[in-house]
Amino acid sequence: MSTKSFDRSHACLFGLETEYAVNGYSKKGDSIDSEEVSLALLEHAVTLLPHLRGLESRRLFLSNGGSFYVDIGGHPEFCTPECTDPKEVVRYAWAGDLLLITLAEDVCRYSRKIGQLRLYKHNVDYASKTTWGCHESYLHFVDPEKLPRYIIPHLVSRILYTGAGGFLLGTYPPKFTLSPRSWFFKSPVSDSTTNHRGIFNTRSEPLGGFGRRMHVILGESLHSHVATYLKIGSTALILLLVERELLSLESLDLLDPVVALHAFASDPFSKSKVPCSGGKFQTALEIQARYLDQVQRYAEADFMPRWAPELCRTWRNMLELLKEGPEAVAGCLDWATRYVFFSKLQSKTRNSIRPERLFSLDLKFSKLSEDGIFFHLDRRCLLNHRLKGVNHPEDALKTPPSDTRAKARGEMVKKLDECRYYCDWEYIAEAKGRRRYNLSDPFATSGEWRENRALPRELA
Amino acid sequence: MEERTRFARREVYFDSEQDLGVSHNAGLEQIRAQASEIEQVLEKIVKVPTEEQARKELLDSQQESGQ
Repeated sequence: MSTKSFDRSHACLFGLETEYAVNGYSKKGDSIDSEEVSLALLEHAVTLLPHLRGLESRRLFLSNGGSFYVDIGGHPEFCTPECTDPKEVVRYAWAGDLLLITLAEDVCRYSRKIGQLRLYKHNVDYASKTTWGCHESYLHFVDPEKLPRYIIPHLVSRILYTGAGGFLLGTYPPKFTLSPRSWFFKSPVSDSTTNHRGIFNTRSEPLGGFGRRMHVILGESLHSHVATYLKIGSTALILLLVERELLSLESLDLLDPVVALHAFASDPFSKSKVPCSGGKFQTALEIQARYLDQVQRYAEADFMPRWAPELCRTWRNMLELLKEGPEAVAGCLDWATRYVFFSKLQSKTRNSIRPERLFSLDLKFSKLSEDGIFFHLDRRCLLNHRLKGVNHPEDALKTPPSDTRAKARGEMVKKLDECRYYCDWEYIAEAKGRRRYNLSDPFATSGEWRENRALPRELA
Repeated sequence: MEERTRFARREVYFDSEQDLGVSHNAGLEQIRAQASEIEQVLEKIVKVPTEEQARKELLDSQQESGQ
């Protein structure tokens, strides 16, 4: 039996999926196909961690309730378990980085074929002009038709703190942008995640039988903990206000969200104004402040989660710092740390440095190893992106959150024989029998076994 | 896996109780000094690759499109 039934006052639920980039080389130094390298990581995870296999052959569910898999384009991907606190998401995403780094080291050590492996937390490939992302999922109770209007101005303006930073392809000299991935988004709304991506992704699956999942694909993989915390927390709180019809769109409705996104992504000083309904022009900072003012008004309300007031304070601090320009947020935001370096380099070389050299350096920022630039700065304690209470990522690899169905999933992963069961987000099933362990309630911390009418996987 | 973790414990937090400098010039000065320190360290540690090295690095690191 479920130990906790659904309660609207406990309605915040979210998670993060991070697609990594990987390159492998043989012992002789020849390049190896990325998909083959990702599959080597997956197979090593099988030997290293308790797991159940997913319905898809290239997916594992782990004892922390999260999932590790090989996604489209051969990218290794880690998905956090379902969380109710944004600091938990940060901690689990950090655990995902740790997992990937450990797997990469082990594969290089033990593989007969792979001698070197490079791992990046990056979002664009300047050579092949491709992108991959960091997706967010949120439980919500809003009419899906109504949601884009309320959420798009937030997704567009939050790149002030959620942007990874990098260069805009096709510009010479290369122009710095807060969010290189944002330039792959060409329409306000779309259902595609691979082509013609829309700022608002309309993939809206039912979640747990009483809510829906909002799938955000505009985000970028970040090193900054505070940026990930704000990204998840601010979006979740805005959704709570929309659900209760407490969010006013006054001065928020963008006339052209795509143009606004690209204007904001081009402006590290947040001075660009974009047209909103009612004839007003607003900067990204003003739009964010408008959202924050409304959220903060209800931060202590009964329907808000306990972490809302703290999140609002951090959000306010961030917006105040952003008013001071990129230098004030260098060290706590990904894009700004990149910006202080590249602006100086470009000015020193009078913009004569070849694009390839800049792109290569940009890639080095995202490398998850000793010679990665963020990695190095972090080790020297020069960054101030961390959050109090977010620690022990190694524990987060083994232990699920205590207040969502991830707890039930994680416990079953530890207990069940991987040869006899397979797992999905909403259930665990016998491979040969007909019983299913129901996990459909996202807030139930234990599930229940039920007879299933569908054919077992092996017979089907 | 614990003994192999490379993540040292940090003492610097964004959301520490100390003032971030939003309302005090001294705090802002401290933040700017930190930005300048980052710049200096980057200048020291980051070696700008030659055009050939950069091109090879970019070609080597090519990725398929993801989601």
